[in-house]
Amino acid sequence: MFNSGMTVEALRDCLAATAPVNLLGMRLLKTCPQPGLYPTDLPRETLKEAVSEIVEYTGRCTAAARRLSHLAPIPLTTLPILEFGL
Amino acid sequence: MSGGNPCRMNDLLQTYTLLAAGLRDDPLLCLASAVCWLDPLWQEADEDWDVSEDEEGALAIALRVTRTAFPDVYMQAVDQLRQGASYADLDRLICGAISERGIPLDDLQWIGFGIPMPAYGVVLDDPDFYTTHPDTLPVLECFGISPEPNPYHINVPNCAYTAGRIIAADLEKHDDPCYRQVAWLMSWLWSTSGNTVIDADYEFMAEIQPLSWDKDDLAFAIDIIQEADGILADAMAGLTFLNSQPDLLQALQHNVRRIYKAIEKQKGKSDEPRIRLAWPCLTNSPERAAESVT
Repeated sequence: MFNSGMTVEALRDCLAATAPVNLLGMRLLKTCPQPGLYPTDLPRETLKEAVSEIVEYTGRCTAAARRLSHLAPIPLTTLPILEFGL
Repeated sequence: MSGGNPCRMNDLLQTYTLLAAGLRDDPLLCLASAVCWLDPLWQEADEDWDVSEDEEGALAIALRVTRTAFPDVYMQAVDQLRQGASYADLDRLICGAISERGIPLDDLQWIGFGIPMPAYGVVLDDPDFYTTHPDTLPVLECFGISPEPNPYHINVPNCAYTAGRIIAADLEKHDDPCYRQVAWLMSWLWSTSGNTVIDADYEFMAEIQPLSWDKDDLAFAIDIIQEADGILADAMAGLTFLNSQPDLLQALQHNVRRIYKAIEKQKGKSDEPRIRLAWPCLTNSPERAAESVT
């Protein structure tokens, strides 16, 4: 794909094989005894760790989105995309 | 409730439970829930957190600062916001929590300017200093400095700073810890400690570019403030000790006079005079003797 040797199928398989993220905050939510509510009375250090981890994660996501939005457009001259055909 | 249909209520509760379970079990939805819970400011949409009385937007800045510098404080503040806390409540919460961590923050409106550093520096030609620290008068009189007769025109000659520096350097090498505390007192009075918080007054500190809330700057600021608090505690202990030892005050005055004479003899040379200073042995005093017995 794009002369890099990777096919569309290989790229799709690669993305599909990415494991879902597993953050402490998600694990804490799952152990919350009252479904739909946020856990309370958590130890301060646990909460601090969960917030730091998620802030770092959302920061990485924001940075990745920013980088993607600044990518130079690539003309797809050899790839037929019928859905968007002119 | 008595006229309601219990079957429909159960259906509603079951639906709620089902949706909540789906929210937790689906990785993407669980991630979205966790972000909403723990990092609602991730997109930095300040207007989502508007609170009345926060006309300057200080709260939005405070949330951004705490988000990276004090994640647990950020979480506490977000919790309070969800419960409808007022600006005053949040101001108290955030300022209190940041102060607890070693950065004295009195008002949320200062948070946007960077780390607020305290300034313990002495301004000897400011009459207010003598009002707030009257216990320094006997020590400063040994250097010939007094707010009398005119408190609005206090003359502090350069030779006093030189003498203060020489005495601080001499006493910091002394074996007796009480003398070393007096050395810290001299460092504070004559702004020679090398710690900016101890040496700078508020006016000087206001002209320095403030440290940012970045991790490294924050650790640096906490180190400086902790060191300054230690120095000031030693200086105050040294002041109490010095004021309780008439012999020592007399020796201080004698040493200052010798330094002044030596400076005068130098006739304008910039080198500091080299003088061997003499200090009394304090182990013979009744208080010290009592201390050594206990």
